[in-house]
Amino acid sequence: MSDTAQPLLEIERLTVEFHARRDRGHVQRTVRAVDDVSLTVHSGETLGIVGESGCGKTTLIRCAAKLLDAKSGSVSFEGTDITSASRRGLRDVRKRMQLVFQDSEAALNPRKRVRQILATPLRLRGVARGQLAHETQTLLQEVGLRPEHGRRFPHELSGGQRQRVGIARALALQPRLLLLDEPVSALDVSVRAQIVNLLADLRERHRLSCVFVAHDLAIVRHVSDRIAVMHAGQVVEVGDAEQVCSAPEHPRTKALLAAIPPPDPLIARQQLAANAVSVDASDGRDGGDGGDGGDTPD
Amino acid sequence: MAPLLEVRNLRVDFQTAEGPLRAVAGVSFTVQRGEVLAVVGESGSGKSATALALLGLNGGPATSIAGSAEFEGAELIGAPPERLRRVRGAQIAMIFQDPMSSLNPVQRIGNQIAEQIRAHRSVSKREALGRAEDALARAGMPRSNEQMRAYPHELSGGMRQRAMIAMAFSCSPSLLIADEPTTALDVTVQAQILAELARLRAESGVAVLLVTHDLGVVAGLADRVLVMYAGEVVEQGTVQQIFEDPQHPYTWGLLGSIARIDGPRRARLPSIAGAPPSPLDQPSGCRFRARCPHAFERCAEPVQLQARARAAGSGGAAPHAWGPQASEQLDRCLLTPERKRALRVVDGEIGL
Amino acid sequence: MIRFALWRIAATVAVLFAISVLTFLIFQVIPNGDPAVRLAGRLANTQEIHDVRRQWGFDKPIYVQYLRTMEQIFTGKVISYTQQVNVLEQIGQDLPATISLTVGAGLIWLVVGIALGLAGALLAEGGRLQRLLDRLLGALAMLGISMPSFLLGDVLLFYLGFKLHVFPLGGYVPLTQDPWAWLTHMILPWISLSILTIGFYSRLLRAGILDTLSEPYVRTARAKGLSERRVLIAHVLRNSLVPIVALWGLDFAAVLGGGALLTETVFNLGGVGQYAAESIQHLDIPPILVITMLTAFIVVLFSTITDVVQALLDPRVRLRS
Repeated sequence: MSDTAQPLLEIERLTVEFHARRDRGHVQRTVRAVDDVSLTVHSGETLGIVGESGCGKTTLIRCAAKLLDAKSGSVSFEGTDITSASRRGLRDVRKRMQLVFQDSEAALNPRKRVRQILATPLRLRGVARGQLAHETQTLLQEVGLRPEHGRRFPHELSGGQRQRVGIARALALQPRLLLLDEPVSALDVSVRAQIVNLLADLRERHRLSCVFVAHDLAIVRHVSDRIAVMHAGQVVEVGDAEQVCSAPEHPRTKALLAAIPPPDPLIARQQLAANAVSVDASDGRDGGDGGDGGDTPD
Repeated sequence: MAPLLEVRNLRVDFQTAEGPLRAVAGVSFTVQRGEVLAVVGESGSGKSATALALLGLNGGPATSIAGSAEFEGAELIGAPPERLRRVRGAQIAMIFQDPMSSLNPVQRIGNQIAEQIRAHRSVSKREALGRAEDALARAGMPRSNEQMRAYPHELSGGMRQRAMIAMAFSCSPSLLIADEPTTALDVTVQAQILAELARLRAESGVAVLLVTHDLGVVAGLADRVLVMYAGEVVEQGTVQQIFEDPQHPYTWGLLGSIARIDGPRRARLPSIAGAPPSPLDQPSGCRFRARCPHAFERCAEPVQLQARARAAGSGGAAPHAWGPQASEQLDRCLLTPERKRALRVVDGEIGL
Repeated sequence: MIRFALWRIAATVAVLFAISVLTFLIFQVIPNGDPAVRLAGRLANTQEIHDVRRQWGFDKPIYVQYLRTMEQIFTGKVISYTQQVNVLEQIGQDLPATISLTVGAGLIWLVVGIALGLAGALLAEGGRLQRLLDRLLGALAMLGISMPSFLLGDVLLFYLGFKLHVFPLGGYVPLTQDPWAWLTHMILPWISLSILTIGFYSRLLRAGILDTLSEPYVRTARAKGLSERRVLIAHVLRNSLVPIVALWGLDFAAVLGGGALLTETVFNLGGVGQYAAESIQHLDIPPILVITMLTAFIVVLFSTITDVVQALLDPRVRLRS
């Protein structure tokens, strides 16, 4: 497979719909969470997807991993269409395309020790029983954890350490593509930077490709080669990371940029005053169906 | 004038299975009337425990709170429950991090706000509901009339936080404790909520204790900043001093790890290596020294919070226009101010 | 809401149909189950049995028999084989005893369960009283799972009734006839039916309250300056009760629809459950059919009511069809 010609992941005209039921009155309506989206991820590349909650970014990558079914459109991975793949075919695809979730506490089995959590995908990869301990140590080391962390339960780890375990679990299958769903949003600022750096190292070392989903352009800018901005289910702007951040074209991109608090007291004060006037521009589409992070279906 | 809140040597201990754990190890600070004091630190730094301890909300018989916190001249620590209850919600109100789990899922927003009003004012249910609706409207809730009857799960994250803010302001408190008020929100919603807080503060003159892990959030809102690490204050100063002339390496690290939208794009972000020490096993001397690249022998000595930047005659920061009261910059790092100024610049910016 | 109601009605009809067919068939294939033989009496000869079979229509194909029985049930003309009385009238006579037993026991285990659960959660942690209550509830719950209610009933009857003469030795007195006698006759049945459930309910509620106490919204309630009493009642208890109420609806339906059968029999209350037990002994199909269908109907009805109540108590619960 040539790295330059064929994209690793190709999303073509993908549309995903949910049937949302309103509580009172039982009006059934269809929500188009992803609306005719086309995106590509090339080998070795990191694509950032940014947007507010409810914009469809999480739905998009869940559908790309075929955790959700699309209404129309297609997703191709390594040149094969996975929208119509069989279960068996999908199993192979999933080994080469792994997900990391935002809520590391919910994503890890609370009753298993870290080394047990890592052993499952390792065995799936065909690692022999005798090699398991060694491979687990290697994985832990790879994500910056110490051997003794393998004996711990998820709740005994900090948020940053748990997210490292989530990444290690994804790496255990030696994937080519990592789909990262808000991997640092729930973390402290200082830990956020650590995880971003870890991902940068791993990408370099394993020639990994990544899709990095977040609501914060400031983070996405540093980790991505290209950025796609989503709004209301559609990609409204896509381009080179620096280009999108320094010369945004779409108003939604500009709004996302303007929302980042500048780390300078004087400028921040001016910006806060400006924001106070333009309140409710985007958060007005409420009152209905959203749970937390409204872009995931219940 | 006496400060609105004066905290002296506050200590919070938790009994755990592995032994006693000191979450807050002797914290002192003051909040003036109408002032915004930000308490910044990583998870486990004791910043939330400090905020909760003021109202005795840490919960559980396994927690013990010691020290002193005088609010409007009256002691809060160890105050009888009924007196504490009268302060809670009426004079000191709180906003929490996750508005979804912090609102009762089975009660309507309007009733939850009215309930607080009725706990402190002898008004009829109707009158309380009317006031609740006004509070919602003031907190920028669109269609506040309709949303009174909404349940928390029917609102978006931003709207839920507005409901929390409305609740907090419903009894016109003189101090608002905001514990990570924007952490669970999107960047765009965060900007709106911060702007809303700034506006309400300007209108009502309320003092704010803003607890957060994100120094970027405090720049626009705070007058003064308290940086906490491992249960101690490592540095405090005006927002300008903290952002322009930070004295403690931990503060440099926090400033450096803010992801910036300006400046060069980097594959690797400046970060603070390692993790905070276990609260069960705090090192002697500077608690940050294990993670500090600039640590030297003297860092193992016990070190006090002192005005070092000025003491060395460096001039410190210029008087600032907005702070209600210029206060001293204190820090806990033994490096000389000159050394600090040289060490803290990494790639042209402040960092570790 | 209309969709939900229609769907539930359809489901009820389907359940009643399925359960009646099943019950009917089971008693057709059961050995020694030929009703004609039983009806004709012990000394009947072949000719007499044959006549009875013709007369009652037992020679017709099964589905005809089924349809005829159903018709009789729904027109209220169904007659039992053994005593040849109208089944619905008989059930109507037995119903007061059953309702007295189940409603009383249901209320007792709900109220006492909630009270003990609340006490267990709120008593000073690790205090002597709490430890004592903990052990008591643990023992009760364990007994409830392992001890059949008829055994407890018999034990109570033997000691409190037969030996100490504190309570009457079973039987039922209508409430309208003598309220005091009604009460004294019901106390032991109520205790034996409810005590075993109380342990389970109180432990469940206790766990629920302890979970709820650590919810952030309870912290919010305290931060609002509510009194501790109001926090506990309006926020903690109110929210912890939702699963208890749901469970109670289903358990109550189960008891009303036959779960009290053994208790009724032990105390000779002459309720519907006892009638069912006797009918089963005599393989008397019509009462069995009617009671089974009634039970199924009650269970479906209560699970619907429970769903609705739960949706009212917790707005996040949606009535799904």
